This record gives sequence, structure tokens and C-alpha cells, in this order.
Amino acid sequence: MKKILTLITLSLLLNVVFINAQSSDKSLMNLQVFEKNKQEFIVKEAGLTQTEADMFFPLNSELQKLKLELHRKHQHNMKQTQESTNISEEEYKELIEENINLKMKEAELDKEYSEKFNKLMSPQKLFKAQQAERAFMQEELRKYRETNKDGRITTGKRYK
Amino acid sequence: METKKQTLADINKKVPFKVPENYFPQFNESIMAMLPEKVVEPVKPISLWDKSKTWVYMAAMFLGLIFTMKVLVTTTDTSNTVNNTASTSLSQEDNWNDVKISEEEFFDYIETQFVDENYYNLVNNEVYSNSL
Repeated sequence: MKKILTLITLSLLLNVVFINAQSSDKSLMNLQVFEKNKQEFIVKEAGLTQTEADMFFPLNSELQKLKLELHRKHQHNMKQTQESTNISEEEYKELIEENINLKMKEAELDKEYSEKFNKLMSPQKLFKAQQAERAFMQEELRKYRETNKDGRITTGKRYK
Repeated sequence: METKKQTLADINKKVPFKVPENYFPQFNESIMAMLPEKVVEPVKPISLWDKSKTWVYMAAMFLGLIFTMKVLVTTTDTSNTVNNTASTSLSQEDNWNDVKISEEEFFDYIETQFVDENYYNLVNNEVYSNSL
């Protein structure tokens, strides 16, 4: 009987740990909803027409996905280096170089896509759309940090 | 009426009880002879199932819980997706269905891409003014 009770207690504890781990760490981002809200905000703020929106958002998503991929690769390399016990001088050098390379690749992508974006709408509208995207992202980031209270400073311009 | 008193002196230290002959030497044997014959039950071997059933029950319980959790999570996701498709007109190219990323990782990425220096200046100013 004592053994059974111990087993039940142990299993309940494991379940709590399992459920917590699932809910906290592995909550996947609902990118569809996020993208939809972002697009609505940008259309409203920059005053995009339906045609402009139909051309701008797929291209913008393509750019963001490429940059996200670069970011994830970089983060993976950073994590691997940080986890190693002895980081050599050579590895530190590689980290710095990788950081610069990442920024350069991102800048190259920005340049490449900027030329494509310029063909879609007027510079004024493009500027407004990009500013609106930035504002939306900052606001979402602020809300996320505030909700999760992870100790990071969360502030910024608030849009309603 | 005369009462006869018996004293220890009358008994004269004589033991009034008698034990039947060979009573104690044969006591054990006679008792054993009177007992019914002992039925020896064969020892049941502990089966593999008996040995492992606790663990099987535990495994089943865990599987049940994991399954329940999965069903609950999937149901929530599906309901979200259904709600989204009803009101969203995301095109095939920008629906982001092919990207799986945790919230934490996504917002870390957002922070590197969309938070500029002016933002940090604003943060620093706010922290500084709060600390005064």
C-alpha cells in the first residue's frame, strides 16, 4: 500500500513537471494570427490599397523568413559555443566574425528586397508601411514581455 | 455436627495426582497422530504480469495523460485555425504555415530586428527616471 501511494505521488509530481514544461517552454508562436493582425495594422496605418497589400505582404514575409532563418542559424551557433566549457580565443574570434557576417547578410537582404519594394508603391507609402511594421512589432514585443514578466525591461510607444 | 479438618500433616506430603504411564514421552506423538493430515498447497509462481503490472498501470496512466494533453492542445489549435481561416485572407506565400517557432524565440528575433537604438534610448531614459 505504501509502495502504491509512493508511486502515485511520484507519478503526479512527474505529471505536474511534464505539464509545466509543455506549457511554458514549448508554446509555439501562432504566426498566422500574428501575421494577420500585423497586416491589418500596416494596411490601416500606411493606407495601402488591396493591390499594394497583395504585392507587399508576400514579399515582406519572404524577406522575414529569410532573416529569421539567418537568425536561427546564428543563435544555434552561439548556443553551441556558449555551452562548450572552454571557449578558445579562436572561437571568440569566430563568434565576432559570425556576428558581423550576420549583420552583413541581413543588410544585403534588406538592400535586395528594398529594390523590389520600391517597385510596388510610392516611397512615402513604403516608408509608412515599414514604420507601421516596426511599431507593431515593438508593441507586440512589449505586450509579450509584460505578460510573461521575464524580468526584461518592456516599454515603447503604445498603439491602440 | 463434627467437622473433619484435613491438614498438611494428614496428606503427609504425598502427591495425590498420577500421570498415566508414558504420558509425557508419548505426548508429542499422540498429539501429532490426532491432528488431521496437513494439506500442502502448491506455491503459486509469481507471474511476469504480477511482477510488472504496477509499472504497466503507471505507463498506461502516463500515456492516457499525454494523450489527453495532446487532444486538448490539438483541439485548441484547431479551433484557433478555424477561427482564423474564417476571417483571414493570407495568401499562400505569406501564411507562415511552414515555420514552427516558440514564442520566446520569435520575440527574441523581433527584438533583434525591430527594436532600434531609439527604443533602447527610450528604455534607458525610463529606467533612469524611475531610479531617481
